[in-house]
Amino acid sequence: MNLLNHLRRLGSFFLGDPARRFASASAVLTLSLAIVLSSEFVNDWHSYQRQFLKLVRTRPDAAALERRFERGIHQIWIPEQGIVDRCTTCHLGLKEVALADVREQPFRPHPTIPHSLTEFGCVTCHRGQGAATTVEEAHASTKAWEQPLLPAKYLESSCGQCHLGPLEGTPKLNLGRRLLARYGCARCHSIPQPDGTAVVPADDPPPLRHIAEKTSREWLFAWVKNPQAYAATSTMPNLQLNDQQASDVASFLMAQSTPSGSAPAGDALEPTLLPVTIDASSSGKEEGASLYGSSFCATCHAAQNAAGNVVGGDLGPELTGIGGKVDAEWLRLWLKNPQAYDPRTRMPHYRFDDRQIALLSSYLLSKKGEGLLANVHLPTADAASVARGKNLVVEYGCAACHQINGVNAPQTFAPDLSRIGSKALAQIVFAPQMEKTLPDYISQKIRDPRSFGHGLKMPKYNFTNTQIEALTTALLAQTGRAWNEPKNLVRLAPRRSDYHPGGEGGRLIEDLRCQSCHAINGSGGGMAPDLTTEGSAVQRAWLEEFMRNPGTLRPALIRRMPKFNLTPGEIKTVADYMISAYQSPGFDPHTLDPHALTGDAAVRGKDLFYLKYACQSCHIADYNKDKGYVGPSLTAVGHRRPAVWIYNWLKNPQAVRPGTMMPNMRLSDNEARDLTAFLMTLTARENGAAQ
Amino acid sequence: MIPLSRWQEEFKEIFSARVRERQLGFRHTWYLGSLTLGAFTIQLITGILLMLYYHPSVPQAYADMKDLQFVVSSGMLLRSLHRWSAHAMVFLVFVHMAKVFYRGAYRPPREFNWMFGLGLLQLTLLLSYTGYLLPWDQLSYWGTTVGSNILSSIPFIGDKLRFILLGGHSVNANFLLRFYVLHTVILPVAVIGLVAVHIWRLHRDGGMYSAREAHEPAATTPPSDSPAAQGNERTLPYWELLFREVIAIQVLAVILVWIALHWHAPLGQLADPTHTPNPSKAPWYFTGLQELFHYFPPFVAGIILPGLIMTALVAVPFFNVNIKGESLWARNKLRRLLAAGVVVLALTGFLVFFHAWVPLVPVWIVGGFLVLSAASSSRQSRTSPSWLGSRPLSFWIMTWFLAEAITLTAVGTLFRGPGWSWVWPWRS
Amino acid sequence: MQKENTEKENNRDDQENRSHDITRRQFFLKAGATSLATAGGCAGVFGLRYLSPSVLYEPSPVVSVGKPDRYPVDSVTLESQLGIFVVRLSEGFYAMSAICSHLGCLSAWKPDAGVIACPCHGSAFHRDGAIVNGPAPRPLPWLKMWMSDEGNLMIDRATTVAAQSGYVRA
Repeated sequence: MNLLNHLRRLGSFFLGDPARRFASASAVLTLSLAIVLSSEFVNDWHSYQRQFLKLVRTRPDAAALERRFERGIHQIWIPEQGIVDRCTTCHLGLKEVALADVREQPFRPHPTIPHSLTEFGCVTCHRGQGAATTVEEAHASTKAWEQPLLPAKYLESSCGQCHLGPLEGTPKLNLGRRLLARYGCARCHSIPQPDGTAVVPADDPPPLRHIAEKTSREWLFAWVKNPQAYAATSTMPNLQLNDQQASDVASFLMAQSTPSGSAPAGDALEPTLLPVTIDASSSGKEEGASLYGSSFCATCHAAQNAAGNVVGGDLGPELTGIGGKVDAEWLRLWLKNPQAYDPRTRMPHYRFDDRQIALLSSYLLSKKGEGLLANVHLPTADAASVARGKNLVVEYGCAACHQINGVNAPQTFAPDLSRIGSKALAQIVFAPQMEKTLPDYISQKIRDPRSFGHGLKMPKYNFTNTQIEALTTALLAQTGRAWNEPKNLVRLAPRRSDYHPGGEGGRLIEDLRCQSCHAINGSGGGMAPDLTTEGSAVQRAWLEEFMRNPGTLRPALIRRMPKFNLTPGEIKTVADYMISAYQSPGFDPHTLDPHALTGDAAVRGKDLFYLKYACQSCHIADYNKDKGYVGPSLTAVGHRRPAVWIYNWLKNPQAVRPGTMMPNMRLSDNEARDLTAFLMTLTARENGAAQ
Repeated sequence: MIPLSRWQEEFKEIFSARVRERQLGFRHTWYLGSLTLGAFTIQLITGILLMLYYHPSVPQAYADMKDLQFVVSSGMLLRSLHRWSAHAMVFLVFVHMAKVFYRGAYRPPREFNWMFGLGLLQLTLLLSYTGYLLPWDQLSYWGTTVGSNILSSIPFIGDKLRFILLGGHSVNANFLLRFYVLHTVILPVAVIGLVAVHIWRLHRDGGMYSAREAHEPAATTPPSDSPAAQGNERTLPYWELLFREVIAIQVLAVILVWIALHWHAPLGQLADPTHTPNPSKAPWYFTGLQELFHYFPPFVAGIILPGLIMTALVAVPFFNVNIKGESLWARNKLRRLLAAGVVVLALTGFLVFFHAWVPLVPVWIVGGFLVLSAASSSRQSRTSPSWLGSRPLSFWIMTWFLAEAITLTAVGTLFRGPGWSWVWPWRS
Repeated sequence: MQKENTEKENNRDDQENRSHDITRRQFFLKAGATSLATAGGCAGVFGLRYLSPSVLYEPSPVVSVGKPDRYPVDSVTLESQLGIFVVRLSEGFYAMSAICSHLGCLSAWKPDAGVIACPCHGSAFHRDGAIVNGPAPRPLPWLKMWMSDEGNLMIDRATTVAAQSGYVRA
């Protein structure tokens, strides 16, 4: 009762009549305004700046740091790129080298990067909401801003927005882009790039038009069910078909196969030279193995060796189980001329004779692999099965990679990935039980594409975690911002060309598929040296000798150029073509007077080599004395390189080959000439013996 | 220091009207009119301040929202205050209208003022609608897109109207600019003008005792729901009422300021013409209408029904049938009960035909209360008159309308999810 | 008698009331008004804070005018976008504001006459900013200039230095 009375009295004191009510209301309003208006002083960035000051004051260089500190909101404003970033309001130590020992955020200084911190702001690389000044809104995904901060492991993707080609500092991004090309992602998904190009697939799916000649229905079934069971390094993904579906696809593929014309009727091969494929004599097998080795098939093909490791190149398919796959006759005809079966194959046309073919095929056919087909028993292939198989082939888009009779390559079969890095979260259907962020979506999709629902068709790859991270990085670089960058900021990818050599020489170069390994004029592989200016880089005699017998220039390398058994006429044709067509425009023969390369000059040159410039620290001129293993051996350079080339190289190596390790020694013209004269006297053969 | 009495003298000069003492109390009008005006004043002040940082261009508008939220001193507070005051104003204007109606203060000579009030209601809704676009976020963009498409549904002139309103064929920068001009110039000026007339009319109609009325009590008709209006009643200077209303506005301001501190005005993603959020909901005062769109074609739900409602509201004072506020059941009870039953059934049939289940609910609830009131009115002769039984027809119609509005708004706001499907709010 | 007394007392009380005391009503009204005034003042102060922008969308006063080779020796170049004269003599570079100190027009270098002339009211300056004639009250100020790490000439438009204070070497 007392309490109630007190309350009543209080009530009437404050609210008894209008004047009191007015006073009370005014007082409450004033108080409220005071509190509410002052609330802005307790926000995030104020308190972080106070903390920063506290931190700075404990340090020895406090005075300088405090002088540089400005209270208030800091902003990086770049109107041309639409950037408004206020991260530096709380991240106050970004540019302070003096705070290098500070580890805790937000005061940690920024690691060294090739760009200045104010060149692109923060959000270009790190995403998040740059305009925000609260912790939650700046870093997390909120109603107002979907894109949270990018996890550090995917940071290289931001470099990829402007840098469309490979960069030294972004190994993960480079790997991811290579994987995108190598695993044929671009065959189903179009991935156009902001510079007008698109990701070009770098894999080599074989045509299936004549598949019945090559292999059996059982093998096709086993392959389609699980490609990696046949060849662990195969780039074909697993379509996750059940047995019935795989059997139907195999039936269809066998049914659609037409004759290839690679086996012209009446191709007379003496039966006696055809060894029996399965039980070859052991010596025959050994010789076959050694021929396989000396032909350097391993440069392009991987195979499992005796120790169980898969070694070799990845330009062609893995041959571990080739014996269990291919038809013997097919293999023989293939080795004779691959292009008769597949005109677009990357495999060169070796000039094997029949005996060599027999040896090689018997060796290859003995490589059975894991006995893949042991338990494969398929029902008969009836018309219904073939029809179902065709539907499956159309549904799963096999023709996007392989040429198949009666099925055209599908257009826009899978979603365009050109802006996948900016996909709105609201447009993504996430798999159950997963983190709802964009990078997680992309990695999960790559890891297990069909975990997102029913009826999805993307096949499953067997990527490692490193590969998935790299692929996700490469895909996250495909952002809307990349497409809207001011053009002056974009760093283009190296341009690919469609160059193919012409004429008689060109026909031979095509036949030998030199461009599978060598790049010429921007078109070709990267495994072997670029031949664009080879004509001015080597002496003709050497070139012919090399093509006759490809030797090794750098012993440390495992891969070797195969020996093609070319006829002298063929060698001459190719050498003619290369020497005349592949000249560097910068090598004016008049810059060097060949008569000036006298013996005296050579003596002077030798002194320069050993005494003044100590070239022997990197190069070997004399096998007996020198131990320089950094650069290539020069014992035969006089035999290989033309004098003009050596002269130009010595004057400015980076102009001849950008990125070479050899320093520019700033030689005078005379010195270069004398050194050239000396080097031209080094004409030993490979084994060190003098000519 | 001017003595306070001198201020009183000044007020007396300016506001020579007088008010009856009984009208000073809160329970009379709940001070709703002045509360609405107070909310509007808050809008004016906060709005003008916000204009200093806002550029009505695309996409700068959204960036300015971010600036106000993160960078401008007290920017977030002003934005929140502006938003919640807007909601308060809409709410208050509806409650004010209902209170005026239930008091019967629309009856002659106040029917002119009633229409001005309805005009102010329209202007308030329009102010809200135009202001909604200005942040240029997803909800703004798509909410107004839907609204502009309703305009298209008008036959013959709809597309032309939409073209003029949008300044183009789609919601773009021109549209933002036009809505900005509407929101900051045209509509506020109209509101101020109408408010001035509204208040002047209020005085002239004797809502508060004017000096004339004090001398000529017979000249005006006193409000009919204050039975002992004549007689010895004290009158006070007008500023006594004003004073109390100022206190009410202060309380409103305190409440709004604390709400603004605690709940920030929301902001979504930047408007994206290529992607419609799901669901795209209008602000709460329009979700009722949006719910109607679920059942009826756009022309009906967007033009016909609101048009009918407005017409009914405007026409209300001209139905001079029940000046004395006679109960619905006073005469011809059985016949009227039957008529009510027929109306309820007809409405039910109409709504069922359109699968409009939600609007059906208030029909039956109010119908139920109607029957209850009929039952209780028969006891009138024996016991004291039951309040429910003595309500006039106008009460029932307005109550039904309000029940519909509340139900539809509640459903549209709380019980609708993606694709406008039914969701239980505690589950999502 | 008593009535008279009471009346007198009442009158006295009334007089006292009128001169010293205020009624409770008046007190509360005054208190309320004062609170509101305080609130108004508080709001005014915060209003001023609101009106002063915390971030400015203005370009930085520090600008780069490129590499030294752009400017021939013994030349005066007007960078009209920036309102700066870049002068290169044999001793080195210096930068001057091109905004006339009279009323803010952009002046121009007249090589034939060897002066910097302002088109608005006829002020003329020497190449080093000193006044030749005209209504200009002060010489053209020299601006702080330095060479960046990348080899660009940088000028801070917001900082002046004394005239003849030094040259930036290319």
